[in-house]
Amino acid sequence: MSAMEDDASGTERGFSLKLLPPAYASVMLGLFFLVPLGIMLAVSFFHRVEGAFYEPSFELTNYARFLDAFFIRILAFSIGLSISAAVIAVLIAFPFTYSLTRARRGTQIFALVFLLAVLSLSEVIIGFSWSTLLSRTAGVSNLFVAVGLFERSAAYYPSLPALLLGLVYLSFPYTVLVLYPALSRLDPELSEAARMMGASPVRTFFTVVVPVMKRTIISTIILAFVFTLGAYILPQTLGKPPHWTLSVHITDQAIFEANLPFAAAMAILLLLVSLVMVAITLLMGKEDAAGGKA
Amino acid sequence: MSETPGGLELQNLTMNFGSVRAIDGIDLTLPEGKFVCLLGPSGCGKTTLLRLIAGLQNPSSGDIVFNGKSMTGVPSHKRDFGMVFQSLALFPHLNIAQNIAYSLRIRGQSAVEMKTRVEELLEMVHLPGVGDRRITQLSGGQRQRVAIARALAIHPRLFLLDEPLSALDAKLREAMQVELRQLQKSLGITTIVVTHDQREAMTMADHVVIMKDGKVQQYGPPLEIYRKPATAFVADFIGASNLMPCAVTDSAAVELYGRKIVTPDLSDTLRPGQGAMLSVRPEDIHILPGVERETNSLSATVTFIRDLGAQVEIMLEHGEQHLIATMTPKDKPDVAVGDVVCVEIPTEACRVFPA
Repeated sequence: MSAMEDDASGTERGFSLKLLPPAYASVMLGLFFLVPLGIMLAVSFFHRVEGAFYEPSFELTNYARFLDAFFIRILAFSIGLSISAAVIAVLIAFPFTYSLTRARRGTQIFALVFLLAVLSLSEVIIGFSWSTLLSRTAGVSNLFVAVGLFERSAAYYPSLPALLLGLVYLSFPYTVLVLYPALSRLDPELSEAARMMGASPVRTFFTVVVPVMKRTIISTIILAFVFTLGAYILPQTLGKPPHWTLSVHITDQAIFEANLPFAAAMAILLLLVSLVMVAITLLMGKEDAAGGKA
Repeated sequence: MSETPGGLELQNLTMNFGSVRAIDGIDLTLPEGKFVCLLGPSGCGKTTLLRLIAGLQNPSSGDIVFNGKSMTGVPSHKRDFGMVFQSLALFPHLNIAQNIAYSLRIRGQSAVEMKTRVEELLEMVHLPGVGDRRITQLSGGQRQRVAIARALAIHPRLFLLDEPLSALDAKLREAMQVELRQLQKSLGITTIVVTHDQREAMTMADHVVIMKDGKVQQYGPPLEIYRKPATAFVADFIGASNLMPCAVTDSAAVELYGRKIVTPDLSDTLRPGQGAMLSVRPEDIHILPGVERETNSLSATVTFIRDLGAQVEIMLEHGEQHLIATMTPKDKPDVAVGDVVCVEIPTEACRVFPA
C-alpha cells in the first residue's frame, strides 16, 4: 500500500513521467486539431475583401448567406447522399464480413490485404476508374452489347446512381475493416445455439447475428457517413452539377472564389449538422438499451 | 451393453481435422432415457463427439443412428435436440423469457402458449418470475439454469451438455450436479454430458464413456468402471491409482520389485513372463508397522503424511517408486515420516494390465 503511494506521489522523475502521456496527447490534439478548428471558426466570422483576401472582423454575413434555399437544399442533399451510401455500404459489407470471418484463415488474409490495397486508392483514381467503366466508349455496356443484351452501348455517368456507386465503393473497404474485428470476436456458440433450437442459417443470421451486432452496425454506418461526407472529387467526376455536395461547394468557395470566410462558415455548419446527427443516433442506441433493461 | 431400440447408436464414427484424427472409429450404443457422461482428458475428442451427435459437425465417415433413423444429412436445426453450450450462449439482446421462448417462436407457438411454457420451465429450474430480466442481471448459477430451461423448451428428443458446469465455483457445481441428475430422472430424457471431472461423472451418470485419443477406453456404469478398470489409463484416470511395473510369474501372481504378489486370476489377459502394470487403489493399501511379510507386501519409507481431518493420506517411497495410501483417521497407523513400514497389497485389490 505504502509502496504504491510512494510510486504515485513520490519522486520528481516518477511524477513527470506519469504526466507525460496525457500531456503529449493534449499537445498533439491542440496543435493539429483544436488550433486549426479555432482558426477556421474565427475566419468564418471575418469580413471578405472582394478582389483580395479577408480581414479580421466579427460579422454573421457568411452564416446569413448560407440560410438560403439553394445552400440548405445542398446541405440536405449532401447528408441524404452520404447516409444512403453509408447504409448501402454496410448492407453489403456486413454479410460479406460475416462470411469472411467464417472462411479459412488464408482466404481471410487474402481478402483483407486486397481490401487494404483498395483503401489505399485515392478518391481521384476511384473517380476516374469508374467514369471509364461507366462510359459509352470503353465501359461495361460494351460487354452487354457483345453478349447481345443491348443494341448499343450507353453512358451510365454522370448520374446519381453512378455517384452513389462510387461512394459505396470508396467506403466499402473501410466498413469491412471496421466490422471485421467485432464479427470475428462474435462467439460462434451463439449461432450454434440458435441452430440447435431449430433456426435455419438465414434465420440465425437475422435473429441472432444482426441483433447482437446492432451497436457495431450503427457505429460503422456513422463512420462511413462521416467518411463519405468529405468526398468532393467523386461528385464532380461521377455526378451532374445538381449532385454536387456541400464539400464540392466549400472547395469551390475556398479555392476558386477565394472566399475563405464563407467556405469556413459552410464547413462549420456541416460539422455541426453531422455532429448533431451522430449524437442523435448514439442517443437512440442508448435509449434502446435502457428501454430493454426496464 | 444393454441395447434398447430407442437409443443412440454410433457406427464406426470417425472425424478427421486435416491430418489429426479426433474421433477414431467409435462404435457405441447408448440406451434411451439414460444419463451418459463422456469423460476424458482435454483433447480426447469428447467435445467433438458431442458436436457430431448434435449435427454441428459432419463426421468424416461412419453413421449416427437415432431411434432407428440415420442422422446423416439431417442438419442440426432439424434434429429437435436440446443443447447447453460451455459458454451457455445466452442471447444478450433478448431477456430471459425471450431466450427460453426462442425455439417455441420458431415453431410458431402463440404468445399464450409460449408464456405458459416459459413460466413452467422457470418453475422447473427454480427461477420463477425472472422472465423479464436481462441476462446481465443474473448470477452464473442462474444463467446456467436459464440455459438448461432454454434447451429443454421444445421437449427435445436428446439433451446434450458440453461441460455445462465448468464456469461455476466448486460448491455451486456440486449442487448443480445433483439438481441436473434429479431433473433428468424426473423428465426421463436421454442425456449426454461432456465433462473432464470424474467426480461429476460419478455423481450424475448411469453410464460413463471413458475416452482417450479419439477412442473409447471403457463404457459402463461408473462404479463398475471404478472397480474394474479395463486399462491402466482408466485405472489412473478414474480415481487415484498406484501404478507399478511388474512381471507376470504365473496365472495368478506377479513379481514386484523382487516380491511375490498373489493376484486374482490373470490367465484371460496375460501370460507368464510378460511385463505388466499392477494397479492398486490408495484406499486398498494397508500400512503396518514392521518388516515385509512373505507375499503381498513391500517395504517402503514414509515421506509425508497429509492429515485432512476427514481423510489421511500417507505418501511412501520404495526406491524410485512412489506410493500413496488413504484411510480414515481412525484407521491411521502409528507411523511417522522417515519410518520404514510394511505396505500390504491385498490380493483382491490387485488389478494387472498389459504394460
